[in-house]
Amino acid sequence: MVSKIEFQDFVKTLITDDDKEGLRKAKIKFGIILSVVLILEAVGFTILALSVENQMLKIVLFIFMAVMMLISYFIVRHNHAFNWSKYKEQIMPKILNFLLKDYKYEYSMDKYIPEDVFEKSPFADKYDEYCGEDLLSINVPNDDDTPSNTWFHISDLSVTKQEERVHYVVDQYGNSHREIDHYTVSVFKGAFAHVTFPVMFKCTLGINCELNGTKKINFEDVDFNKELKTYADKELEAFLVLTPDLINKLKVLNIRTKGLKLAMYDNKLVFTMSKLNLFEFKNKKNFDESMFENFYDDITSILGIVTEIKNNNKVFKF
Amino acid sequence: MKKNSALIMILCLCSVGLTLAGVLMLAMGIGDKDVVGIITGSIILIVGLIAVTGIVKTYNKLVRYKNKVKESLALIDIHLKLRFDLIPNLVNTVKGYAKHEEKVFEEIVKLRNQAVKTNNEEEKLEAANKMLPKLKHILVLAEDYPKLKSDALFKSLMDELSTVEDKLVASRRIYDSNVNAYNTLIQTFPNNMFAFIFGFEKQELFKIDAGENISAFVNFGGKK
Repeated sequence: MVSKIEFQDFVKTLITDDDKEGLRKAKIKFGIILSVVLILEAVGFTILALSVENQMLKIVLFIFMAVMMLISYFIVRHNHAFNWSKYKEQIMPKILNFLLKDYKYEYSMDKYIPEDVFEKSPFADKYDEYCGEDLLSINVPNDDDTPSNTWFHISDLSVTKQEERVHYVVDQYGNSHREIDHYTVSVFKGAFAHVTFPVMFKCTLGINCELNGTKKINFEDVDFNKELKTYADKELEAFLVLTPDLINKLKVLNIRTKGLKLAMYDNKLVFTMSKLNLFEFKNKKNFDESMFENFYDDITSILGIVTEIKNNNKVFKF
Repeated sequence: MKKNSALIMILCLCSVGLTLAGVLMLAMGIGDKDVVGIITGSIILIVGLIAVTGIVKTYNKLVRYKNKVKESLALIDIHLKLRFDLIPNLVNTVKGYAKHEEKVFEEIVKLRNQAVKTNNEEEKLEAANKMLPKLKHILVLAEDYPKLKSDALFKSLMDELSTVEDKLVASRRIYDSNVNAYNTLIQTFPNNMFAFIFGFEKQELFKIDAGENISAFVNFGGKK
């Protein structure tokens, strides 16, 4: 894996002054258009409020407001697409190509982890809509850095469900009516990763996730016990899996990402980081190499954990 | 475990006495239809019951944690025994290739027998600790004897030893985590009062290197 300094130097060369200038101009343009639209909307609302009596004007103003709203929506959409999506399409393959030059990997912006993988994982709750983006698959190398037949997949996911709330409204004649409000609730939003190994694990283990037949295990690291709750069916095997080195790596990842959940069962390793959107950088204020700093740390941290588990022969049934 | 019998007696008498006093006052209050008496009796009874339950629960918790420490020590013992069981075979195998190391072999066997015979945990761990550098020495020897390294029996013994050593390290960590939990429990308020009264003493973390990882020496063949 390339060092962080090498990576930062590389990213500096990728972000040109033209890119920065383009983004600056786009921000100004976006600001002006949005301000005009908002002023027009404010004026419209004021007139609407003042002329409640005039029904015709009211309808016209309503249409005008709707059009303005629509324009605002498209401006925001356009701005988002201009600032990031197109840029990400160009820059991300280059970044991954440099960062993962020692690995075999595949990346697709439009693909994501198949639904059945998420559905069968212990983290899946009842949901209605499943979507995602940015599927990154990396070959986990052997001890001697040669490619193995184990692939690690990670993507950003957004899983939601529809819920309804019933409430009663009393009309002007005093009759009560039953009304149902539909709204969308987020079940999971963040990064989801999974690995299927060719051999079975010796034990079932969950971190911040209580699997069937497991009991709580405490480790010698008091901070780790406080931050992450570990459950396993076999205590001794759990200690063989979670070596002091791996415990430290998990602690670091949990501090970085928050909301870490991990499950090891049968021959599968799945984990989620609900506060992490691995490939999402658009909220960054500074458009420079610092935008990708977290990306480097997250990828190396996650890959380090997966590689350590894969190459720990003591945890598999051979 | 030094129990402070007098304090235990006082504690039990106080809590049971409080409960009984509560029952009596409540009964008298009901008999006399005295509302103040009923309320006072009920409060004293509740306080008494809370005290009794608290003492029983804390005591059981302390015992549970203490037993966990004992269990983990027993786990180390099991894996040390497995290590000791492998030693005669290992020594016999290496002996055939490195005859001039006779003295080291004798010392290892002597320490192994000493450790197996004793029932004293401290002595056993001390013998295991003394044995460790000598064991490492004979494992390093294999590097100088390619024929020994390729010996099928030696290889299988090394695999077994590697597994035992890994489990020994894990057992030591389990012991340390249980000791940590136990020590924290007996040092925090109000458990520290009960620990003092019932004689629960602080346990030491693993100071003897019986479980020190010698896997690095066992795995010299490149196998992890």
